[in-house]
Amino acid sequence: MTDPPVATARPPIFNFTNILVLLGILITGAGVVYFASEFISRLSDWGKLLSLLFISILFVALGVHFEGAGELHQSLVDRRGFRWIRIPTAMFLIGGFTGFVAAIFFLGMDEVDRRVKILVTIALGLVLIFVAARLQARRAVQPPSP
Amino acid sequence: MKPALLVAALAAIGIVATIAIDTTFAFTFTVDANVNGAWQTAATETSAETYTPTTPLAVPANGSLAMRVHLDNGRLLAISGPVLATFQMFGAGASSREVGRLANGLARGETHDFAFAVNASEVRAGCGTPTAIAVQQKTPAPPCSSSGAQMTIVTPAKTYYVSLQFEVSS
Repeated sequence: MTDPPVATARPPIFNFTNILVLLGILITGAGVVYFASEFISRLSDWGKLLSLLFISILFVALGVHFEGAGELHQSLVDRRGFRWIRIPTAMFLIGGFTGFVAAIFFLGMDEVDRRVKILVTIALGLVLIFVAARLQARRAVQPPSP
Repeated sequence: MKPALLVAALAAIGIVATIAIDTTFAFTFTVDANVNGAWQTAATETSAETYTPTTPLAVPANGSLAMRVHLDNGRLLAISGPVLATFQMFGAGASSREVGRLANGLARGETHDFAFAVNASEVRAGCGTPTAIAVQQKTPAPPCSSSGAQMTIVTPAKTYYVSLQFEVSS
């Protein structure tokens, strides 16, 4: 006689960890929005661009760090359609969005020649795609972890 | 420390350093205008991007007009060359000439005068709108192409355009 299947109780969506993460993302997002909309006018154009790039790098690097940090890599919501919600994903989204804002800001800078702006943005976009393709190829070669 | 965390820490230091350096060298200034020997505040800063007019300018024909830049905050450095102020007239006697040059920049609290004379051949009266002065960083369209002027202050970090619109009183 086999034991009846044990119904594993899925953790609730709004548990303490998830609320903390959500709060952290909201507060961080509010800080970035405040920086980009209010405070940034106090900086020079190059200062704005550098700050946005640094913020983007900061979040992407934290995303990479969290991705390799065991439990932090897990899905926050164990529901179909929501499993992509992870701490690293949130970091990547904030970092990517800030990087995109930095690129748009760079295109709007008056003191940079238009030809330079076109070349730099296209080259940067191609480099990002190339790096992503290399990472994907490397991941495909690696054997799946047990 | 893991490489990703190290990069994040360096980026955080970069953000703090960028903001600290930038806000140290950011400056605000007040533009005063001297019409017929009396100084009056022509524009004050309301934000880093916008300067609003406070006083209309009424310049007598063949009268003199001088402008004074008072540094309220920060430091106006001459890193990549002197801070230049040019004054450009629009209208009948359209002309452009350099009216000031700050070879060593300007320290906090210091004042520098950019003086220039205005005469009737350079200024044509009247667009039917109030006279005004505005300082901004973006290239402005002259308020009125027939009787406007523009003073440009070029600094290493930013360029300020002081747009004037004034009428000649008889």
